[in-house]
Amino acid sequence: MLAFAATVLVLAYLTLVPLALLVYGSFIDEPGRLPIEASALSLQNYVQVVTDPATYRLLANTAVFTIGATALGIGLAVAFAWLIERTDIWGRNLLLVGIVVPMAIPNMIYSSAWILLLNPQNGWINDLLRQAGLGWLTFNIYSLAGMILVQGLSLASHAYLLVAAPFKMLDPTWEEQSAIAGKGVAATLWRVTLPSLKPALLAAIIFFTVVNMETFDVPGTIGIPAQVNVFSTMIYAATQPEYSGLPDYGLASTLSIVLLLAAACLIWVYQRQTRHAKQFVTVTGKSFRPRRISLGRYRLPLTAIAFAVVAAISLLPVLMLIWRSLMPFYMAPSPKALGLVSLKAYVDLFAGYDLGQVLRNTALMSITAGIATTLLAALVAWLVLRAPVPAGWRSMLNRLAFLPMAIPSIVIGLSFIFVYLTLPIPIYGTIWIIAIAMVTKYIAFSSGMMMAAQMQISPELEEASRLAGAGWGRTYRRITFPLLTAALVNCFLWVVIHVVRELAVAVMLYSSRSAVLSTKVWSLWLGGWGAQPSALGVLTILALVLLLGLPPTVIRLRRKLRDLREAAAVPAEA
Amino acid sequence: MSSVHDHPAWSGHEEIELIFANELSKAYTGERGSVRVLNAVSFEAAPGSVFTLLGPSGCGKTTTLRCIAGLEQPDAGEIRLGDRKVFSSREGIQLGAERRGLGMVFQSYAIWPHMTVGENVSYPLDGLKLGRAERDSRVQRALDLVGLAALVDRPAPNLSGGQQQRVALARALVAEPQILLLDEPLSNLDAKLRDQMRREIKRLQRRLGVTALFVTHDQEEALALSDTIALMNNGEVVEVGPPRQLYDAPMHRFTAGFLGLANFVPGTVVGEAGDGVVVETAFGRFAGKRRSGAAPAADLFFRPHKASLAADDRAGSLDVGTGTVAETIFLGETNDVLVERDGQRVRLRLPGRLPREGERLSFAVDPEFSLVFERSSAPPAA
Repeated sequence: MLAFAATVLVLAYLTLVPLALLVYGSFIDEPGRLPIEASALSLQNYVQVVTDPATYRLLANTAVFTIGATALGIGLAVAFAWLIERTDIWGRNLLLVGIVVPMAIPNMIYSSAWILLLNPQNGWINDLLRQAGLGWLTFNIYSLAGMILVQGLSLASHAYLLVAAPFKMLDPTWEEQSAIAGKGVAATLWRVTLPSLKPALLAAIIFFTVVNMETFDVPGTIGIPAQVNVFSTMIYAATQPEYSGLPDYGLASTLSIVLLLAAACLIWVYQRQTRHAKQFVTVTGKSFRPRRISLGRYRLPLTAIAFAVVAAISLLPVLMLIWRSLMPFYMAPSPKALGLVSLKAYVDLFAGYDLGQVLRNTALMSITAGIATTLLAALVAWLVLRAPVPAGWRSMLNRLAFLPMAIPSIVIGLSFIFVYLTLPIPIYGTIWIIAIAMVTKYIAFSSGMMMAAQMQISPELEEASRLAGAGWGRTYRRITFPLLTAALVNCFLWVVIHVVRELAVAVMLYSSRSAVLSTKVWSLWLGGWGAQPSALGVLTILALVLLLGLPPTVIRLRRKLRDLREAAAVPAEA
Repeated sequence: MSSVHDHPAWSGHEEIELIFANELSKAYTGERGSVRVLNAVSFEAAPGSVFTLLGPSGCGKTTTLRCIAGLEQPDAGEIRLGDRKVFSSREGIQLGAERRGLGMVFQSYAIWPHMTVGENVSYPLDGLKLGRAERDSRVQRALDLVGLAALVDRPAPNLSGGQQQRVALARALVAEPQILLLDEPLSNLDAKLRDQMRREIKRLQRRLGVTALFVTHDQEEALALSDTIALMNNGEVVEVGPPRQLYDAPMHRFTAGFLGLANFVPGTVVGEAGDGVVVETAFGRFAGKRRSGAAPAADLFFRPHKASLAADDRAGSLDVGTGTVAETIFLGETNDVLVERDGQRVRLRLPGRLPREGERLSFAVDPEFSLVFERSSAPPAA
């Protein structure tokens, strides 16, 4: 089938071509030169990476950061998933909103807010502690521990969405059976609830380990000034003249390949784990009334603790960011400082900077990437699940679409530099190179999403169309595509939200004329965290909150439209 | 709502098409080697008849139907619809489903939820380049046929199961196909509605004169609807014939056991009687028609309702058996009685007085409906 071959070629172009150039680049040891300009191949980069003690410091930092942030993030997520989904804690809906708010905060902005709260000079919390005579309790965010704290807290909201579903689906009779057997709440949680969720939790742990291992935002914002490097920041630094003299693309490629291999191993384990997980029966089709565990005398203290934690995760950083954006210069929050509040930073943003262009770039880039990714993912999903080609071909396509899962963002950025400085396609330095890189970055996730949606459409609906005389093309256009509408909209919005948040890909590929929101905040931040980047951060968060709110609104709207149509159809029946 | 009776049949049918399948074979290759799902399946459905593929789940009946529809491709064989060859492995012909001009009703009905009833039904007319008036009148006519003309603007999700089934039927018929494929169309309906739809489908098929290929695992449905039944098992056609013949005079042991309730009583052939043989069983001697094999070890087959109570003085006759009542169940119209002797059991359907358990009982079996099959290794059905 033509569509099948074309899709394979597009995916190969999006993933295999950049990877091939990356591997090629790793064998070139000529700083300042791109792979294409090199004169000789050499193993020098690998020798350097293996023999340099700095590599092992890098490995240790990355490992501690990854494990620490995963433990903190998943731990928080599991605790909240259990409290919100399984117990009678007060204010569940409020807690739920609180825990997912950081989804709308790009990690770079999130870490900046925490820098305002916990930097050693005038971080607000540290100031308060010193004033209270608790100076020994102050915390320096510019450290590995600081990076772990911020990454872990921001991860909690993402992880929550992944682990809450299995907690919700768990058959409550299993827990009731344990209670009947005389086990208390804690024993039931430990002996029944958590073990039965082990496959789902393990999958989440592996998944977020990969995320933490490759993330750039927090290490870039906190780790670079603190001189605590991990792989992603090291790869970035190697390509930036201000850190290393000449950009050393060869070393960056070699480091990328080390990171890529580590991520690929974990993704392989993840795939095995999730395939295995299907064999565990935690989710039955059986419906059951949700029954909640009574927390008894712990209900009040646990509610209080949960709200305090949620306030620390969501409210505190956002409020601090807003406060900073309203101050012409830094003043600790106090009634006295209220007199200084001004919207000058916002006015300046729109007046002084090239904000209009940045917003246009961001909108154009994210919408293009969103549409392209969504359509490609829908096509991949249909081909993998329904195409009339041998099963072996379809599973190959599936693997090809899943491959980018293992490619760290910073590595995608680096390899795209190679591709578009090598191929005669003049998009280097434009927003289009960022848009294409974003398609590579998000095609794996979106293909998974669209496959889940495609599976919901019974093959008989498509077959009925073929029996009615429609070929594959008309069947897809008239039947499959319209039935996927809700999933397409969700997938599109999901991609747009993530593209707007994504810093690592864009930061490797942007130029002065192709700056987008994330890189704009980043470059403002490089000039010091003042009122204007805070204001831009607040605006970004606002935009993302609106986008996040869209899918439920769309669903409600669709339901309303259907109701209207039904109402209109009633008289015809009479 | 207009009735189906005052409606003209399709116009313009010169000749109704037959369905001809020859030596269809198909295997699926999975991780654990390949599984044969069709093994040289051949049949011919006469023009204008209801031809049913009946069999237990996994027997290959649905795969056969899907091959006829063009949704799946056999590995070998040939399929003809009328005089059109739509599949031939030898000549490399495989006509796509959209080009076979068939109507089909799916098990799930496959009503498109994003369209109204009218949009669903008019969809098959899209490729026909009809004028708007002609198109509307065809949709109207098809909906009239199934009595749903009033629901033309109703969104498809707001239909009951029975209505969905009718829409599916209208959609399958709107392009006036000569062949209608039905894949377990009644299995998702409740018992009462199923009975009603069964009659309606048969009436429609008769009125329109289409050739219907019907797939079901429900023997009662097959007996009620079909002109001809092809009984399938393990990817092969076991026996083909009219319902009555398959039920009353099956040629194969599998047919006898699959259709309706059956007794298989182990015995030994001890002689001949008229055009049949005499079998000695634990309950007595019986005469029956011999079906296959010459071995003395044989099973006597008869249906529980072909037995009746016999007077005691008839014990010893060539159609009477005697045993002890082991279990009885009152079923309303009749009684289900298990009679035991020497560790063997037979089931009888005896109307009238409910026998007591432990009572000695003689029963007569209509020799017209007694068959003698070669002993199988499978345990006899109770």
